[in-house]
Amino acid sequence: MLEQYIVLGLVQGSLYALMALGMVLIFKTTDIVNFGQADMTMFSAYVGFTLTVGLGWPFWAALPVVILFGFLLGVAVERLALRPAKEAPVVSLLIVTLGVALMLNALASWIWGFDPKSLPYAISGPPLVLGNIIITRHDLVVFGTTIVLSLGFFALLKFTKVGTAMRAAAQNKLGAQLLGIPVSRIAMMSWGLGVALGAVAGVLIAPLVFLDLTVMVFVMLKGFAAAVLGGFTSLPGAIVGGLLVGLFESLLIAVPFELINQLKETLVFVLIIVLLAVRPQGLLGEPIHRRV
Amino acid sequence: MPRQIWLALLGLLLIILPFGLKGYTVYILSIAGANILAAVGLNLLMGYAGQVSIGQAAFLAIGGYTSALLMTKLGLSFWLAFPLAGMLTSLTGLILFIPALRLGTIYLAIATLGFGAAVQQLIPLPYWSAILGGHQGIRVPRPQIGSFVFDTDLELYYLTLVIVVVLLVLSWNVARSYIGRAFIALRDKPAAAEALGINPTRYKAYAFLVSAFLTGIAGALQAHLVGHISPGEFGLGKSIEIFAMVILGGIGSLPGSVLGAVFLTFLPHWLSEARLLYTFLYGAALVLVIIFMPYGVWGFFLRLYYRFPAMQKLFPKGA
Amino acid sequence: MLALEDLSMRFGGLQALDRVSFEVKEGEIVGLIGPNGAGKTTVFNLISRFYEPTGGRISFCGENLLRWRPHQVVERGIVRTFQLLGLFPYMTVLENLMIGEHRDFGGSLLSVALGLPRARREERDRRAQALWLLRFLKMEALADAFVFALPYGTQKLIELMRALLARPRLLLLDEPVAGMTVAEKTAMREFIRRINHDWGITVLLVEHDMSFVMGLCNRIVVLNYGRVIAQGRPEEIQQNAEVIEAYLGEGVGSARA
Repeated sequence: MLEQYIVLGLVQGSLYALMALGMVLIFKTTDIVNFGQADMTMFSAYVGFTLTVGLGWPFWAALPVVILFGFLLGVAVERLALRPAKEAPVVSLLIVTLGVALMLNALASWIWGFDPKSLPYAISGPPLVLGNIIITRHDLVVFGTTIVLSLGFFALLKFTKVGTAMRAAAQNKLGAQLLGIPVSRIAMMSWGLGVALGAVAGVLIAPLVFLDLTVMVFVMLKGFAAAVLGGFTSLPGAIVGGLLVGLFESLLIAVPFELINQLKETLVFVLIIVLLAVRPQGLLGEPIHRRV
Repeated sequence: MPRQIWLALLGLLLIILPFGLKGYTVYILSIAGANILAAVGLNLLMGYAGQVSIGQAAFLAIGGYTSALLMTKLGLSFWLAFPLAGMLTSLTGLILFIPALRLGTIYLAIATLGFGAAVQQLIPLPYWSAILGGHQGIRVPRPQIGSFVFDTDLELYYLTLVIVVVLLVLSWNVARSYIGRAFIALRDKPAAAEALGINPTRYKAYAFLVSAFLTGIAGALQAHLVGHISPGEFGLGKSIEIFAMVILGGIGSLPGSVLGAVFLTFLPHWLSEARLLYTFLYGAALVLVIIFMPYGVWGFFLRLYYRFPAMQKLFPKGA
Repeated sequence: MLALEDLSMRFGGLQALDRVSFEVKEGEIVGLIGPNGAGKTTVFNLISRFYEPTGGRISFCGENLLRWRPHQVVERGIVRTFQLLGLFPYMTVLENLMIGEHRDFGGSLLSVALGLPRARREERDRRAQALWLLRFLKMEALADAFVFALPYGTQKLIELMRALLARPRLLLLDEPVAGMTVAEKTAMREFIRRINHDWGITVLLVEHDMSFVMGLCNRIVVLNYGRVIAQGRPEEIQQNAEVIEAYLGEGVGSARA
């Protein structure tokens, strides 16, 4: 029984990990916490809904289009909303991301209405049974996609010119600028990739829940929690954090005690706060050095 | 004495203001008063002491429920229950402050976020629904002095006006004192501040204390104005709304928070004609204000002030 | 007055200070010099208690300084300035100076909020004191100016004034004349001399400008690679072969500037 919950937790957790990865990437290169990640994810998932249910495309054809859409959305947000506001202090930019989120929410309600939508699984078919673990094919896709995407993403950072520039900008913005790295184009790329990661998470989560205008907020909050748990400045930390949050949440469901179940969200945060009290820089974050 | 004259004129305007307005607008003005206190509370914490909180709605809820329950369950008078609500909220502020001691900005943000989520999840649980009223919430009695009950929009407006003005003066006193300076010092150069004898633990505690007190009072005030309280009002959205009031008004500026709170309280009502467009326009307004006024409304005003000599003559410096 | 005994500090694999010992006697002006990265500012940060030393002791007036936290150091009578300015940029000059008087404020949060007479009087008196010092240095016109808009040399001077308002017995100055013009340096030298002589404040300073240090200090301690390689009167230091060696390694320019 326990194995079952662990597997479910890891599947759920890999979705949080994708979400966290997107947010950490944006934060590392631009210092902005994207509070609009939820609505950007939600919007991308609705696009996936239109493609698969509305136009009848197969999941695998829709996925790249959704990724592209997420990428363009991120780029547009950076170009049209954040760059014009770059004079403002960083906390104010959080409000910009929220403003964009509200606008997307409104647009989604015009286009798709308020009724919850359901998306098809990536692969249909009977669940697989491995010993005493039951796992759906879609869960396997979720898990596999997360692994493939994170590996691809790290390869991109490690082995491409853009990736190297992104890492440089994340380390030291001014230094990168002096070396002639186009920091503003990097910011645009990070937004594109960060939102695209969220978009993938969105189309993978949507079949597991009913897609509506607010459902992604909880996913984002857990992604945020995961990112913080992992250290917020660490990309591998985001993935580890995501898996841990998913695992913890799933184990809480396993506890046969009603109160624990009702307080699932709260307890996830409590755990994170306790962990942070012990290790303020998060699991894989760089230690906080006192700046004198 | 230009400063006194301006303040006297402003006071007079606030006193006669409701006579030209519809009852509902007067009621919204009172709600704006409660929001002003919440925004000022967050600004002292975030703008002055540099501690970001996105869980302020939890303090509103604690203040509101406490004041209501002290009156209905313990039979305390409004004048006792109301300040006690602020003080009890202050105490919870201190509890939240314990993790804040060691955490950097982002981590504190998640801690306050978690706190907000926790409070909103705890209130509707069935275990204490007999007292807290579950998801439906509870009725909140009207404020009362002796046998006089404040129950018209106008009466509530004047009560709110007095409470808000008194607390704004107190907040202003703190912000302009050595304590307010210590907040800013710790925010901008923590090492230098400590080397000059500022105890970071104590002043962060003060910031949480003051902020939670004001927010608790704001919550209590709002509950008494509305006459009802339920957990649905205190979600993440409310915390973010208060956050937006501070940012739009101008971080680190108390007059800015007042403007930000009034603006964001009225904006939904101005936009309500627009129906479906409303959320979109609200979002667009947030984005546009930050693009065109990066330091908030107050920062924008100051910039005009320094650019146009005519304004400096009208409002002499130091006023 | 101040005694460092076998003070060591290690950051990860880097031994920043290795068994540093020296003393500052009451009434002295002591210069702490050495090539870049020798560990001078680390010494200051240890005295300020920002770092926990990995070994050794610091005592001040016979008392163990390591018992105190950073904000309590000033109460013992040690005040410092910072290499890259410790002024608060978004405060006026007067407000900055009043932060220097922080430990003379004692009004409770409540009395401050209510604007009780005691709190008002305290604020008024402290303001008057800070204004007096500004007037003393003929800088009262700057009282309401924002710090970030002032020239660098002026900011350095204001930071020193702020330190003085904290009533130091021992003043730690981290590069007090870096980036100043020759005239400003001369004025600063006279000012420090006056602080020391007339007000009886002991001074320990870090500075790269050799002629400034040689012309002002009674005694000099030389650090290199985290160790004390020489200490003595300026004439002795100028003759010391090991010191010349250490500085030659760094390039003549900065040593003789």
